Amino acid sequence: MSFSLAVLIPLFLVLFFNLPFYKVSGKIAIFIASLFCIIQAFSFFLPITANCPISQYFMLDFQCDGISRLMLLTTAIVAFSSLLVLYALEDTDRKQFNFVNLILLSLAGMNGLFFVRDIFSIYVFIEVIASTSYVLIAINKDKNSLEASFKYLVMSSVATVMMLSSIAILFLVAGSTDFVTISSMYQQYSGNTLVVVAIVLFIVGLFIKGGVMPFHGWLPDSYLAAPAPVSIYLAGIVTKTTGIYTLIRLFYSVFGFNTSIQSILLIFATISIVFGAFAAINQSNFKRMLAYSSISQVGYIVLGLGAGTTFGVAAAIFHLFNHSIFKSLLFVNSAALEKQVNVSDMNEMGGLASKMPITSTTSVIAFLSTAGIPPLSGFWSKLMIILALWTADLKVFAFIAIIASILTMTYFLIMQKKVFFGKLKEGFENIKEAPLAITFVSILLCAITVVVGIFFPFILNGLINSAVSF
Amino acid sequence: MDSIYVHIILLSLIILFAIFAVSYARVIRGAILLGVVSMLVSISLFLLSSPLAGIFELSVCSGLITVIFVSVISLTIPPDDKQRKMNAISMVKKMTLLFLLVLVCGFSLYVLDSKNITFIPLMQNVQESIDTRDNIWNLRHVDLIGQALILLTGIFAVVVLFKKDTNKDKK
Amino acid sequence: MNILLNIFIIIPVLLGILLYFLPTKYNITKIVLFLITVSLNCFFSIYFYGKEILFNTHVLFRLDLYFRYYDLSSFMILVLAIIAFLTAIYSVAFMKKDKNTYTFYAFMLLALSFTNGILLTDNFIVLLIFWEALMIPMFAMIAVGKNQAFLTAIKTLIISSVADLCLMFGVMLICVVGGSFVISQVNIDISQPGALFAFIMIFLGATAKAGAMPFHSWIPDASVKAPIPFMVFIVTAVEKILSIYLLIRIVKDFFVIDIGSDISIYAMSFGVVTLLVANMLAIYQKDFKKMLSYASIGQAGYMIVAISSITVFGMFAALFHMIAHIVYKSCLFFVAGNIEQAEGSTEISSIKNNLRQTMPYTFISFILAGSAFAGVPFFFAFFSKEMIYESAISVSWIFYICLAVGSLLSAVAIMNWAVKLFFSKPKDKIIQEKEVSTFMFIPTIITALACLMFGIFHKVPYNLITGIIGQETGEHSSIVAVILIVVSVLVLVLALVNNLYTCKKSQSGLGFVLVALNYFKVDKLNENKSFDPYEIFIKLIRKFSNIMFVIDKAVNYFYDVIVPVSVNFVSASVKKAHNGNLSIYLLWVVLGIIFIFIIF
Repeated sequence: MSFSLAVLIPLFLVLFFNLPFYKVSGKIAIFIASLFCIIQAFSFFLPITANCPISQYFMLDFQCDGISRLMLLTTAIVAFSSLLVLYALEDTDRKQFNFVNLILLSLAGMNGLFFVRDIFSIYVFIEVIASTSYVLIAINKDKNSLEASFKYLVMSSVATVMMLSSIAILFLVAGSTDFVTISSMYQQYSGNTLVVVAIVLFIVGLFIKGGVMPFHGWLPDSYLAAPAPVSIYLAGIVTKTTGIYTLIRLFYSVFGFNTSIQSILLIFATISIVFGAFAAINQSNFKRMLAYSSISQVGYIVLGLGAGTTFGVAAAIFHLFNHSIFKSLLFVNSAALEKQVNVSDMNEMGGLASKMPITSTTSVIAFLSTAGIPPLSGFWSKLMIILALWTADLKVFAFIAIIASILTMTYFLIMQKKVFFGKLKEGFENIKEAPLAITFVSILLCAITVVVGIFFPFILNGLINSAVSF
Repeated sequence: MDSIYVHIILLSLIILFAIFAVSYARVIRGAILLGVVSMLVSISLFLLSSPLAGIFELSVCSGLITVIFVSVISLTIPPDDKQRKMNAISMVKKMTLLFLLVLVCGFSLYVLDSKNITFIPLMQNVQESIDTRDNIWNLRHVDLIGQALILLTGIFAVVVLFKKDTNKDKK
Repeated sequence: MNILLNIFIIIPVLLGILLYFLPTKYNITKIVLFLITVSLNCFFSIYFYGKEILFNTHVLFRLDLYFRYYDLSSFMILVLAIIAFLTAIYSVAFMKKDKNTYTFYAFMLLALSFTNGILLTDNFIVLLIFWEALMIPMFAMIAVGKNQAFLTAIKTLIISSVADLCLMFGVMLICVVGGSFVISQVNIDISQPGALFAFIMIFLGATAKAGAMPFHSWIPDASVKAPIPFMVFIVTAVEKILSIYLLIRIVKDFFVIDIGSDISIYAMSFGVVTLLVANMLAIYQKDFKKMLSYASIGQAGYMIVAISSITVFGMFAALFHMIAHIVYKSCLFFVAGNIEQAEGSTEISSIKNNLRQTMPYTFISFILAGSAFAGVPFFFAFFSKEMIYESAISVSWIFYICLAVGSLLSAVAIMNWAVKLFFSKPKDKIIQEKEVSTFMFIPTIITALACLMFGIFHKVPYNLITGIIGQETGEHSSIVAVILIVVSVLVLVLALVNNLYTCKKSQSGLGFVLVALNYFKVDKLNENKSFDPYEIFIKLIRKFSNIMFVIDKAVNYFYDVIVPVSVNFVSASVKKAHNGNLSIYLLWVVLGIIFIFIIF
């Protein structure tokens, strides 16, 4: 029962906020929504309660396993940061209210996505998340946001087409769309070209959603043009869930690994890692560089998945969690910069470390984690991915992954130097540190990165082994 | 009415009208042609013996959606001639792209065909008809939740995107 | 009996470190502590003499390190202790004005304790550790000398390191072949595989310590730059003691070699080469201390020849000659120190006064020690030299000829210097006697008198050594002995005649020997320093470093130019490809799908 609450509570909250009798202020809405996120985050640590007297009425066809609980935690943390950043940015009250409602709806969709055991329902919830994202990106209604939202819309529709045709073929072949039937069908007919075509189409659809090269065209523009809380939300969780989590779920619970599909995953992952990193090096806009860095890191996750063993799946999930945390942290820092400095070209910034110490320190830790420096969390997850590849006899890919870390270090060092270190540019003398809400979120996310990194053995046994046992 | 030629004609008409729908610069023509495409699809659904789906398709997509499209488009200011000439993509370019698309599809079909596709027998239990209402309410209530979420999203989309920012909102 | 270890090894180390770190207001205390330590060392070496003590550090350090105090080590420790005592007294006066004196004392104590450690240990690894550790005091003691002494110190370090490398290699091979790390348990037949190579390595290492060629070139440099007590203590005493100790153990205990075998002959030729070249080079020197150092190297050659003859008689001779050499060479160095204190330098050109007048007691010491050096009968070294000749002849008479030539050369050299120093300036009635201070005077006189005393009463050291080596066996045909004595006397007379004759003619004093040597182009040898492998090595290093510099520039070019340019190029092209056009992006999707279908 408690899982369906994760979907139903946001739904009821939205309905509750919009009852026609009174107006709910934006700030109260943020507060209640953040409360819900905190509860969701803590529910990860509580045991699963399956029996409850109210359960009969609210019983939905949900099942929960370790991966879903981990994703619940991740989603809650990112949504919480996004809401706090929203609180700190002074927008109109109505706008904040609309924002909160949309984020709650999106949250409901994501929670639903984590629990369903049916391919068509996966598609439905992906569409829920996508629709809320279209609106969220365009919420400021300036030209760039509308254009970015439109691009996302069109490419998402292509993804929808792929996914629906794939679901149709699978339905045709298996007779029903739930995981159990499909996986038994797969075990019987896994070599059949039709089935493989269907799976490949679905994978392409998910690649478009997840932002893997070369299907990533919408991603940089959307991350750039969306307002700050939406960027955090998108980058932190939306692409990861709709694209990558679904891939993981499909390969872990439904299909097994097939050599040709594995090679598709590996090749596109490598292209994503390498070219994403190359594209990020010369960028002058902070958020765009972070978008390309996202593409590169998503490549790592898919690379871990492509290793084909449960160890690879565990590594992919762990990197997903870590990536959500440190990418959200970087976007929170970009929100702080955007609010305080109002300049988005990196070449015009400089020497901000003395004026905004918390932002610069947390961004240093985030980028060290991305590059994979011990003892932060990014190092452990990258290590697991490389080990998974190595033990699966894919040594070339492991080697490429290691070399790409150097590229990662490059663009992040360039960013740090341009924005935070160096001499203070004129006109920046009055810059103050970002407001408390934003710094609080930065410190929280930074603390999670550091703690997960240092206490990795406990995390390994607690989080990951409970999610995927390898 | 169940012969294969009807289906082939219907499918080719659908593709034809779809191509027409995207090849005009005036959006309102595209919207109306889209309605025609939906109508053809609903006929095809009828012929495939799923009348409920056909009804839904006809009423919602072909009717309601086309009405919404036309009403929204008529609220916009069309671009004047000079702008239209600037933004126009020539018919030649469009036809070349279409041709390329046909080539790509043909190539992919050829590739698919060269790999031996062995067909899988249909599951037997699909043949028994499950009542649609039973299907939606009992088996697929999760999707209903999803549908509710999407509805609410649509409401918010309209509110967010179409409402003007008034100055009396407090910051 | 743990006290043994403490007295000889640990206490000097601790006191040395204490002396180094005490602040300057305790200077008098430092001198007193220094003298007390050295005297204690001397006293206990006499006290424990002759006993046989075994000692294991198992209880202390949980390691099985054995220390063995037996007859050979006790003898060596005694000799070292006495010389250390005399040097200490000398250095108190000699280095009074030097600002680095206390460093010198500290490191001298360290060197003393390390040497004691080498002489006491029964474990190869500890031997190596102490042998290497001895380089630290050596380096420090040279480096506190005059200007430019630092470079000499580095040269010493490098040459000693190379020699020690040979030693290490040899020791490790011995451990592997012999099967044990304990020194007293190793006894290898030379014909075993690997044993020959081990012998060569360890022989090189041991002789290098004494100053055999090609590891000799640091000694002349050090003799000029480093203070005199260093020369006496380290070069004369410690080095010779250690190398003779190790050589005797090699030949007696470690390996079983036949007399007259090939390896023995090669080793003896090695010693002969050292001997001849060093004595030849000694003739050319213009500085008294340098001449003494070359003479030291030559005498080391004598000892190597003696030991390499493998006979018991040879070992006996080497030990005897070692003590004799220490006594007279230290006396000569003390004389040199006195001259330096009085005149400022020991170069020929800078001696102004008639030293016979100003420093009569120094003159007397010089005469005594010089006679011992030349090999005059009834002085200390005469007897040992005869024994060396006899052991050389027992192998082959060619060696004897070379040894005789060598002693002719050394006799000529010392007589030349005698003339130069003491008989060259005219008497001047005005100048007063200006002898050196008491502290410096006493060791000089003691060692000089010892040359004479032990020469007359030569049975005393003879019995001491017999107690160690055992009775010297082997035939001594008296005819051979008589011939040897006659030849030695003839050599001396020849040298004297040569000297007096050429002194009449010119001021040179070297006579026909110089002519003969010039004929052999030895003077060029001296000028070019081509016998100095260290210089050759430095030239090679310079060429090598030029090549490395070019390679480094190429690598830098790669990393600084090529890599960033290519990365920037790729990244700029990728950035250009993302121009925001939606149709382009969709085209990529289509291309991606085609790609999948192709590869799958």
